[in-house]
Amino acid sequence: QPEFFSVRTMAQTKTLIRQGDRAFEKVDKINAELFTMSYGALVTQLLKDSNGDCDAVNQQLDSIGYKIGVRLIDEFIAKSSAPACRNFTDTAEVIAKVGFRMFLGVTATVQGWQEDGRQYSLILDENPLNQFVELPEKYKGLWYSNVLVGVVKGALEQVMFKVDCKFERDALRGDDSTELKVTLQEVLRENMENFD
Amino acid sequence: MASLRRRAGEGKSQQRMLYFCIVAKGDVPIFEVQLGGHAGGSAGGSGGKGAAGAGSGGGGLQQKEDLVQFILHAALDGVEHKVWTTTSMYLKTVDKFNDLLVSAFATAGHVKMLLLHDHRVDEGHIKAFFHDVHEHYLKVLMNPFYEKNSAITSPVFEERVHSLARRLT
Repeated sequence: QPEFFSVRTMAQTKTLIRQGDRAFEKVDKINAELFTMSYGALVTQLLKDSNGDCDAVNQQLDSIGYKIGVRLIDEFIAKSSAPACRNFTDTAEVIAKVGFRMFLGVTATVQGWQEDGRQYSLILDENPLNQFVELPEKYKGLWYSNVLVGVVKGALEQVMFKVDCKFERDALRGDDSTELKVTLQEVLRENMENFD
Repeated sequence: MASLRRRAGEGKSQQRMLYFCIVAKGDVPIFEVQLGGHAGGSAGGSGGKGAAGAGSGGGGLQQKEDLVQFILHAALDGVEHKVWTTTSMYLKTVDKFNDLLVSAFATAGHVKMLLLHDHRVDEGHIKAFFHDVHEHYLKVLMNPFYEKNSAITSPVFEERVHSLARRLT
């Protein structure tokens, strides 16, 4: 692990996990099966509309996720009372332990930090979106939970981190785990030009 | 394959007749499998059964496969009749053919499960088998990619049915 990451101790991660649990308690809940089935219906409808074009559907799920993410971040900051992040590295654990827990009900694990600290992976052991789902052969180009990719991008962009996010592995495709790779592209500065 | 042929050669009493199928609304079979001794049985939709029969020992077994189809189809009448007489999904025995019995299970969505077996299988086990398969069927239904009333092709489901069936023998 890179030098600066050693600052993130086990105790700090545990605090975030507790924070995540607390945030989870506070938010309204929805029946998990209803949620899963709604998402499944969305994906299958998109596939039908695009005549089985997996790349197009991946793209659409990404866009849908993005729109969700830009709104979700406000809800997150308001309801979670998670500590402010000092830098990009902090955001990783907060997303994994508090963000995911609050909105998906499950925590993710942060792994695979790159030397420059601009890239990491989120590992999901459980994914409520793909409960009971079995991906048919003809759709194996599909990243079923691609909406998550958009959510991460949209949310982080609102806090001035422009990132690229994509699925590396998916349990639905037969991989041993589900992995999202997050890469920092640039840190955005407030654009003051439009203020007269 | 060799072991199957050996079994076919043995006396009739050794052959375990245990055939399971799920029939959707409109009498369309969506899942068929031969359980028990003959592990390499047919599976999935209608039509491939003849091929499986031919693979495991020639004409004799193929005739049996066709006969089984016929028996189960005829049993559906018995199911229709019994379904309105009870509120439980398990319908016990709905038809008889020589020394073989057909037990059935009907869900609220008119999906019928039929088990062709001989008298040696315990009723309690059959009931438990139907209920467990039903639960797995519900999970198949929950898959957004599965279209209701279409053939069940999930290998996971087939494997589960086989493992549940071991309790029956």
